[in-house]
Amino acid sequence: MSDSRSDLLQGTLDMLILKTLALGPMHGWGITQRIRQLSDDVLQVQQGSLYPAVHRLERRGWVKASWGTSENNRRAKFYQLTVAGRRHLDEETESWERLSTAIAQVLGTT
Amino acid sequence: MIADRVRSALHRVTTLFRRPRREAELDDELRFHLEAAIEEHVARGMDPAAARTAALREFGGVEQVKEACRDERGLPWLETTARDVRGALRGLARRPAFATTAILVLALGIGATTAIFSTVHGVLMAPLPYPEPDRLVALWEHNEERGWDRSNGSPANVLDWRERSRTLESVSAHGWVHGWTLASGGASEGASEGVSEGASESGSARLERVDGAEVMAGFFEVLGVRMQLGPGLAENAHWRGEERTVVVSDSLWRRLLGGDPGVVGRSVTLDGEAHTVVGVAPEGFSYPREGVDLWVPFDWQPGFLQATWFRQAHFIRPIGRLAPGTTVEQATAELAGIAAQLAGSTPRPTGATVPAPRRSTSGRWATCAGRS
Repeated sequence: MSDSRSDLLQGTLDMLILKTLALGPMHGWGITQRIRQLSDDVLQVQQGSLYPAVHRLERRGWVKASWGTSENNRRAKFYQLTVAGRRHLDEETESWERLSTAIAQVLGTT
Repeated sequence: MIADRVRSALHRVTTLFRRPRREAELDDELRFHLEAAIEEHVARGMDPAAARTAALREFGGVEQVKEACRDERGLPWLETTARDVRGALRGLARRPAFATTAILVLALGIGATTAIFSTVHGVLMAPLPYPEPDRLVALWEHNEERGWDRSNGSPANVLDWRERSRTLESVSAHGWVHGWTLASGGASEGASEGVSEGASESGSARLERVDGAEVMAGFFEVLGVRMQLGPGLAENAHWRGEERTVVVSDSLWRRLLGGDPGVVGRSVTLDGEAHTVVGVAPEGFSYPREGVDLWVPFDWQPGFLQATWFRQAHFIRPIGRLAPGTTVEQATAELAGIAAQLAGSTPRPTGATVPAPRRSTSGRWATCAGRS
């Protein structure tokens, strides 16, 4: 039970990260900031979840990592979306929309 | 989906090889994040020390995060196992006496088992190095009234089997291996390296003691062994003829006859009698055991057929090759039939052979036998 739930959360987090990266390459800190901004502070990704997630994405070939310089001239690891990653993002977004519509429908009936 | 998994798996494996660099990178990456968080707090008005504490608290356990990241990359079970193995080795190093004992016991056990298995494999399980080895059979005689089981054949019996059997396409026999004195008369320039044991000079020839056995004609044909040089033994070579012949082993040919390519037709003296070399066996061939260097045909005379001992003295070891499509059982039955036919002949044969389809430990043969 908890397995499938954490899987769902994991999948959702992956989707959010990929979406963030679709807007441009970013380092880990930037990703958390961006997600927070875009969700009006509602979604605050814990570092403990973010980094394992992003490493997993890299292993699965959906993002690519490279070292670069940050805005304040510090060495940071930047991630960017790959072609496979973009494809995965599209798939996940579609199934998410289907899922949330269905849930909304069920909750909407009186 | 599958390509995904393959890529993922490959990634995990390759990660194993670049661990130090990856660790350093992970360090840097998380440190950057931490400092960025601290800066943000400071920008909001916290003092640096408090900012650091707050940032660390928010981050959660750095080590845990690192662990989680590592799990995502490498093959965690492999790395855990490797770590455990290293720990075990360190523990062993701390207790040398115990470690030594354990290793010795293991070595002994493994060594003994390997030795036994190699022997068993060589003796019982490996196929005989002859063509179609499963068609080769060793033939025995069995004498019920005397209680002899699996005894040797007598010359007359073996000759009769050879002539009358149709289930056995060829039959031959050999006598026991014994020592012969070989004098390789004539020039042996380019002779063997070193001095052989038991050699002595006698005139111009060297005398050597070698092991050999008497054989019937067709001996090499039964085994399916072809001569390296020369035509081999003549048909019916076991009957006394004009000259005595001999087939030598590859080892003897090289050692004592100088590896002479024209050795066929040369004469060697065996136990004082001249023998003409008619063949050289292939390299590595030795029968019935290692170290046999000569195969000399029996020296029988037609008059022996009337002799009692020729029929009743059982001192040669018969071998045969099954005809295509026949079984050991059929051959056994046929030989039993032949034995019944011979029962009325003179001199009266003794013994009757019986099937014994077991592997012989010395000869590694599948055995069959017939009545005689």
